[in-house]
Amino acid sequence: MINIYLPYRLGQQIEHHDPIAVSATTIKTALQQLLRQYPQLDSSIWVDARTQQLTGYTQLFVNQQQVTDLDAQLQAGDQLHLVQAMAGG
Amino acid sequence: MTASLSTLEIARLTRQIDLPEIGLAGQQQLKNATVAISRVGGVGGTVAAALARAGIGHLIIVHGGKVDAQYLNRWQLATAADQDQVTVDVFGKHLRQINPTMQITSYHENISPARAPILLASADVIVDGAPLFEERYAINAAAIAQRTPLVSGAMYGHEGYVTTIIAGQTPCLACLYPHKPDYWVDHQVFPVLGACPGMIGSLMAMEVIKLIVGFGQLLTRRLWHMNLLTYDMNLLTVERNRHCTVCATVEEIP
Ligand SMILES: [Zn+2]
Repeated sequence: MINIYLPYRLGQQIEHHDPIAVSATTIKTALQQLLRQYPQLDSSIWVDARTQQLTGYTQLFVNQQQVTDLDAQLQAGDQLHLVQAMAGG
Repeated sequence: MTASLSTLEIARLTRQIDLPEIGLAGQQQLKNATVAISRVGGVGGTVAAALARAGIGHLIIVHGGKVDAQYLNRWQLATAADQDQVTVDVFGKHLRQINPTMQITSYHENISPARAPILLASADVIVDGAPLFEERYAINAAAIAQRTPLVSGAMYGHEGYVTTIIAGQTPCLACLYPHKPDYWVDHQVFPVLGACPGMIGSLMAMEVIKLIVGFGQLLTRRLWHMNLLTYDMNLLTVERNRHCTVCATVEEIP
C-alpha cells in the first residue's frame, strides 16, 4: 500500500487528516485511487480531470524527494506527500 | 555600518555569544546586517521580534494598513491597545522596546512589483511573510534579480513550510509553485491560530541568523514542512524548474 499525505486544507474538505492508503504502482494511479474515494478533491489536484495535469500550486514528494513525473513508479510502503502553495502569514 | 558592540549590547547578548557558532565575531556580523521583512504579521512579526532580540543591526519593515482586532491572535508586535494605529509605527514602538539600538527603516505600504526592487535593494537577507501571492511573487522576482537570499515561510491552518531561496542555487517560489491557488483571493482566506505562524517565524529567524553568520545546515534545496494537527514533519528536497519564468536563465551555482 501507498500512504498519501494531504495538505491540511484538503484534509478539512474530506474531514480526514490521517494518511490515506491506496494500492497503486505509479503516482498517477495513486492519485486516481485517491480521487475515486474523494472525487470532491478533483479540482484541487487536476487542472482538468480529463488531461490529468497537476495544478500549478501542487508539489509531489515520494519519501521526501520531489517528483514531477506522474508516471514515476511507486513501491509498497512509499509515502506520497502533496504539498500545496500557501501564503498565510 | 561597522559600529562595534557596546558593553550594554554584549551584556544583553552574552548568552548567545556563548554559543561557539556565534561568539563575538558572529554577533558583530549580526550587528552589521540589514534584513528586510515584507509584512510583519504573524510570521514576519515573529521573525522581526526574534531578530531584534538576537541583535540584528538594521531591520527594514514593509507593511501597509492599520492594526485590526482580527490580527491580535497572532501578531507578536501589536497589543489590544494598538488597535487602529498605523502598523509600522506600532511595530517600531515594540521593536525599540526589545532592542533600543537597532536601526529601523519603515515603509507603510505593501510590496508591489514596481516597489520591491527599491525597498529591498539594501537588504543582506530578505524575509517573506506576506499573505498574498501577488506580493510573494514580487518579492521572489526582486530577490532573484538582485541575488539576495530570501527566507520564505507560509502557513494555512495548522500547516506550514519554510525554504531558503538563493538565485542559481535553489528553486525559487515560481519554480515550486508557478500558479497561486484559485481560492487565495485576499488576505483573509486562511484560518490561523497564533502558535502556527509563531513556529514558522521562529524557524525563519534561525535561518536568517545562520545565513548571516554562516553556520549549520540551511534550508537550501529543502522545504521544511509541518502539519501541527498530525505532527507530520518533513524535510523535503526541492529542485529548480528548468522552465521557470523567473529564474531559468540564472546560471547554476554548484
Ligand atoms: Zn525559479
